[in-house]
Amino acid sequence: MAPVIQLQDLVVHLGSAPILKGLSCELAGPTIGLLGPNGAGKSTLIRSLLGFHDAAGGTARVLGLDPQGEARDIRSQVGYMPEHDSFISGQTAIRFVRYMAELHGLPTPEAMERAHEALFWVGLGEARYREVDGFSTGMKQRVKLAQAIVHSPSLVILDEPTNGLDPPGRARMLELVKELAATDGLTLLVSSHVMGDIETCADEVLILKEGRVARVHQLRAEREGDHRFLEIELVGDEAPFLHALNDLGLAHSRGTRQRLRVATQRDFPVAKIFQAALDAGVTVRSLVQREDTLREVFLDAMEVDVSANGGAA
Amino acid sequence: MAVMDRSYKRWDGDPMPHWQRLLVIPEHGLREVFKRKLVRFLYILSLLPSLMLLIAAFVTTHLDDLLALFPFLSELELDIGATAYHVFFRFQSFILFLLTLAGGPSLISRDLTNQALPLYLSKSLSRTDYVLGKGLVLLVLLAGASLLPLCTVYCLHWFWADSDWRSEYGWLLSSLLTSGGAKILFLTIFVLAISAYVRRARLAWVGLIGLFLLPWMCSRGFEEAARTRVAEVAAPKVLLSSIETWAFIDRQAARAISNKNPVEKAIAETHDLVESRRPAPLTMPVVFAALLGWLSAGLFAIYRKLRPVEVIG
Repeated sequence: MAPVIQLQDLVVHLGSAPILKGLSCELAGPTIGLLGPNGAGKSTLIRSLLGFHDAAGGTARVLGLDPQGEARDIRSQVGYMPEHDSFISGQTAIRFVRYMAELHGLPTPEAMERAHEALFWVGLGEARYREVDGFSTGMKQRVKLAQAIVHSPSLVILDEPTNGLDPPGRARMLELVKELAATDGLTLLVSSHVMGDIETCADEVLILKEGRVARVHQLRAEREGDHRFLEIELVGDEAPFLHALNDLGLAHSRGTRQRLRVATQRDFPVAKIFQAALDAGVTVRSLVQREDTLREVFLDAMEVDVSANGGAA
Repeated sequence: MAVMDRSYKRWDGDPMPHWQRLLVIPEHGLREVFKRKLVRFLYILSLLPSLMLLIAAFVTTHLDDLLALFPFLSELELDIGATAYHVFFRFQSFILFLLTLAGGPSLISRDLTNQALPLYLSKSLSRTDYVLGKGLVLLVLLAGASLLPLCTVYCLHWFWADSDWRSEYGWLLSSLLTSGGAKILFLTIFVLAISAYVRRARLAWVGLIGLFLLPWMCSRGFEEAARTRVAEVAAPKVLLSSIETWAFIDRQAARAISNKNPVEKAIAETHDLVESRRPAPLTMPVVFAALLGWLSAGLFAIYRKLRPVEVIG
């Protein structure tokens, strides 16, 4: 699949402060998660992709277009749901969504029809003639989603779509995102600092830390893959044991809290690992089988010293 | 039983051309502005002078026909010339100012308060498009309330009048357009600028009134102290008045020798007498250059403030 977003050493400053510090990665989707703690640069990256911020260095391409010179073309193909409350005061939901559709270039009759459809789709059919000012947080989030999709964009960018929602509202929003993700020809970029949200809907995750790429993780490939992870804590000299793992054809890396992470096929006999430890003269203090959940990937990524290596894509 | 399909569907129609999308903002903006009773009241009030002038112009140009029906009209001494147009123009200018105060301050401030700017600018619209769209709301409102009806009346008057009137007042249309155009343009740009910085309507009123009165009072004080009118370049009220004086009185005075209308001749002479007691006024090129400077400053202020995202630093 061709990458939807390509970043090459992207540097973005806000005022004099560097926020994005040399991001490089390629993301193909179809559902891309953007994960990171608050202040990691998620919203700045999204705004840079929309051409709101100029790049101080490096390049970015969205749908094959440059946000600096071709922002208008990008925006015509993108639906954007901002993080904060954004609406036009004094307008009913239907007027607001229709207005947004018209600004995207839909002729008035089509804009009106699509606005009705979008509002029904997000579950605001009954409330579409009420003014947006009086909506609850959850309803405002959904009306923002409706305006982002009303013109049938190729890429929908959702910045913190579950922000401020109660558990039922959050579940409803994630359902909508998943349904949207299943649409052919549509790529979703979902930004969140909540891992569960990203894990629920994303195929591919870009984890940011301090304005740098901490990791790009293929969640879909992992879900569909036939492997598991073993987290092993050892006592003794690890070198011969690592050599033995290599001989068994098992990939390994350093996991959280200096534990060893070993990737195996699901049907690989664990007894062979215990035998290898015995042969290498090390003691296995603990061996835990783990699905490589996003939580662990995220915690791993947060331990990476991004400032030292400039990001680990 | 009808079944509503609530799944997300794509739209594959042809979008409107860019220029047509630009008209969406003023269309929706005018609808919002005309929701206010005060705006509707002032708009109707602003049309009354034009209506009165139209009736007067009709009566004076069709007096012979009307005398048969209304004999009392023989005692009527109406002479609709430059002075009449100037008086009605001045009355309309006052209403125009009130209309600007009623309809203008919330145009941008409401979008800023509700963080709607990213919604506009994430479409294929630039900041210029946005400002142009919002500016068109006021331009259409103000021109529709003053310049358009007054010019229509003039054109009808010109059509009905005899060749003497046409040759004597042929210059009036350009005076109406220059003076009215300058006022409308200034009010539009500065109300938008104030609207971009001041979010409360009442503060915006104070700002606009202050922008007119304070520099004017200062320039008068400077004139008394230094016996020069140089400071008038910093007083937009004086600049607009200078253009109006040039457009109506000075051009009329230039024709005063051949002017048959004693009232207009007396006004021109009184104006000359008053002006002769004051220091030399600014020349018209200086007045127009100063106004252009003000308009540029207003546009710069708008552009400086309007960003899709606030950047502090």
